[in-house]
Amino acid sequence: MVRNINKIIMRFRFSKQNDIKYISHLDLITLLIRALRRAKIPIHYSRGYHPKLKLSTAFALKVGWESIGEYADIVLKKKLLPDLFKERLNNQLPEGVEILKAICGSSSKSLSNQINCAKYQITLSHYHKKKELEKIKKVQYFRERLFNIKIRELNNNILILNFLTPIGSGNDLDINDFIKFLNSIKNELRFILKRVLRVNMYRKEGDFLLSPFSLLK
Amino acid sequence: MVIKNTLKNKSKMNLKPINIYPLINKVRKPAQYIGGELNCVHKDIKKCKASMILAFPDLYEIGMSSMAIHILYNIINNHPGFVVERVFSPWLDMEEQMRTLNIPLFSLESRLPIKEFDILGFSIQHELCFTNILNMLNLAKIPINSKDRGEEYPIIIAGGPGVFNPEPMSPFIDFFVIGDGEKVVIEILKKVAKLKNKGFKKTEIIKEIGQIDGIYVPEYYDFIYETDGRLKEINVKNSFPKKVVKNIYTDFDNYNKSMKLIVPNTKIVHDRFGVEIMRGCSRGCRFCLAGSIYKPVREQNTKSILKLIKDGLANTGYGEISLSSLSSTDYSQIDYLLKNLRRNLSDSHVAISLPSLRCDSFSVKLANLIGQERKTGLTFAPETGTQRLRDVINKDIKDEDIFECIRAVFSSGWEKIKLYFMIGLPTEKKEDLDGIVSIINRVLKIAKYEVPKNKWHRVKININISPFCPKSHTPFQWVGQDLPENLNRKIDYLRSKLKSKKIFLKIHDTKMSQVEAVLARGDRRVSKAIEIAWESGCKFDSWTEKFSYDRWTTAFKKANINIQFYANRQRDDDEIFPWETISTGQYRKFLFNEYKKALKGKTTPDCRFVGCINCGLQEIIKCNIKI
Ligand code: SF4
Repeated sequence: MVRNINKIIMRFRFSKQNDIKYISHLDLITLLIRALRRAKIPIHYSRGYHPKLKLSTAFALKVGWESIGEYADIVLKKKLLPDLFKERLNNQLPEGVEILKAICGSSSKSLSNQINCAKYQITLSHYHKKKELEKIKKVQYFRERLFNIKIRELNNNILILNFLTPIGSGNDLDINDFIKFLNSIKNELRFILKRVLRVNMYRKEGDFLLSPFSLLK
Repeated sequence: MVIKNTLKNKSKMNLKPINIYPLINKVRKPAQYIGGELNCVHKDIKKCKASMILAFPDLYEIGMSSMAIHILYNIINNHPGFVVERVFSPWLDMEEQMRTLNIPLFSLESRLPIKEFDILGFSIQHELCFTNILNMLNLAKIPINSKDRGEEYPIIIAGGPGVFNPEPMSPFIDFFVIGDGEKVVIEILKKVAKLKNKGFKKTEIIKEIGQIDGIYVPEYYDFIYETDGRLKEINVKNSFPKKVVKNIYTDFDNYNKSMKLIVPNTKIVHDRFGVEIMRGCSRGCRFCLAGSIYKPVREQNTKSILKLIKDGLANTGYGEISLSSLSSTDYSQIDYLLKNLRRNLSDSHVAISLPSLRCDSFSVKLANLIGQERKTGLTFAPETGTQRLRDVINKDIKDEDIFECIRAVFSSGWEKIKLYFMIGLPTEKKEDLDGIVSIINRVLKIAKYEVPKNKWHRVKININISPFCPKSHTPFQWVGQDLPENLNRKIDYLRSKLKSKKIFLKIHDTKMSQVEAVLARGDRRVSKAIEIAWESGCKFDSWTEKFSYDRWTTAFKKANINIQFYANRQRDDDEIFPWETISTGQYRKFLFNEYKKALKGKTTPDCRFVGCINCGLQEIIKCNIKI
């Protein structure tokens, strides 16, 4: 872990969508680093025999899932206007990865130490009533892991579920487990996971949701 | 009316991209099938005069690490009228999905069935990918045998180091491109564009292309055999050349100017910016196919390399470059090049790596100069255990070079080293095996002496041992390969002698090597066995976990191929070889002399040090040697 005290950090929120959702988390980091180099962003390299740059992210997204709420920190050599950073980097990124917002600042804690909660939107196809879904709200396992559940039903047997869930606490929700559970509530019930979208990530303190940007100094 | 999808009216077809999502949601590493990488090119194939698919018969992560793919991709796509797209072997899970959903093999760029292109060109790196080629054709719904392919199918061609003995693959490939492809690939596309426009039939187009230098059309060659199985004669039809001479490319600077490497979105084997600083090697190791087929040495101009790297890093964002060639430290301006690179790259924190280091202290000095990554260690190839056997194979390194090299490695802070050795070489004796053991023990001693105690736990000596596999066009093309049971005995012996916990042995499968030996010097009859092997499920044969010796031996038996006749038989001095139709430029006489000198333990110097030794290349190209 880098100790980022006094270091210039550019924190940015970005998306991972379209075909890029099929690349792994490590591949995504490599892709961002190469884009940063092409965009000639003044990156800070560690000293030493083999200088390394540090791009840290929070909580890997599974291959095949999409996101409009990814976050990363990069340590810079000198200050840079966030809008300029955003524009220059976006020029170098493939379709599907887009810098949505950037803020420059400093932080003594890493993203994965600050973020503890994520908002997801999952799309399910089903052949039953929304009512059945209401049941999940009553199960202990999910009561502990899902908050603010909102269920929306589209007419063609498609359900959209929005919820918040803790992340990085060792108490994370396994979405595949969740689907398995849904399908076991009633035997004839069949839910198929169509899409997972990470909408955003936050620091949850009590009832407050703080944006990772607001945690920068 | 039925409109046949011929080469000519293909442009009128309504080409629809394949929906790949139902496939890739269910496979591992889906990123390798999506394309769309940085610097890849999208053109409308309907608007191009001729279209080609570059097919690599192995996984994406391997194919994309091959410079050949990048070079040809750039040259063809930089040509306004032509388009080239890529395809790689899908892994087994993907193949299963494709077969279940009845989806044909498609290109990465437009996701069109590869059947829709005018030319399908395979890059063949080695023999153990032959079954993958048949499998790719089959997945593309293209008949594997040339004779079964009508006008609606692409022209199937192949090139690369693996086609210098084209015979085992000759029934499946319409024509082979021998030697460097940079220039000739454009000539081929031009011919195709012109002739299909004129309404020529595919067979006519192939015949016309057969007139271009370096093109081998197997259909026009007949092979007659003796009753004992050896070749009796080769009859050439029409006016085709008795010997197809390889093409030699010299104008590197030309395409360098516009070279843009595709940057993969997913990790590949050589994940860095590769620059070919030199092609060919004149050291003259007698076992080495690459040394034989890539002669003569052609160096790239230093200025042009520096420019290529500067532009390349800017348009790829790579953080590492690799200066590749068969023997990078032999590049005449290597010192100057590295010093310049160090200076130019000091701000951008780009790592430099030099693969294929010669086993001497000079190499270690260079590795130090560029600050080569310490973690991965350095790799060298002493090849043999004794000076005598090193003279047999004409590997110009002395024992002292090896030990000085190793001492330099450990004293300058590396803790890992990898050494390559070969077993089963001609004239090998027990002393040679003992020699390997004593070299390794000495390496261990040097490491103990040089590496500080607190770092000793990190020391790792990796030893790769592979059986010698005789290849066509080399001085050892006459030699019979050692039998697997002998090789295995030798391996057991080495194992029993190399017990240190610091030594990590990696041993190449002797049976795989035997199959490779059959294919490497096989004739046209061997093709039947390849077909049967593929039908019985052989693919990814170079992958240890996928290789099946049983399937191969069964296939050889069914095709009436005697393994030992091809792999282990000593050839007669005047035997006609199946690859006699192909010329690397070297005289047969030269190779034969080298072979005889080898048996006597006599060495031949590098022509760059002593001047031309008349290997034959001088007849087809002016070798630029400066002594
Ligand atoms: S022709 Fe002469 S100079 Fe050229 S590669 Fe052969 S030996 Fe060397």
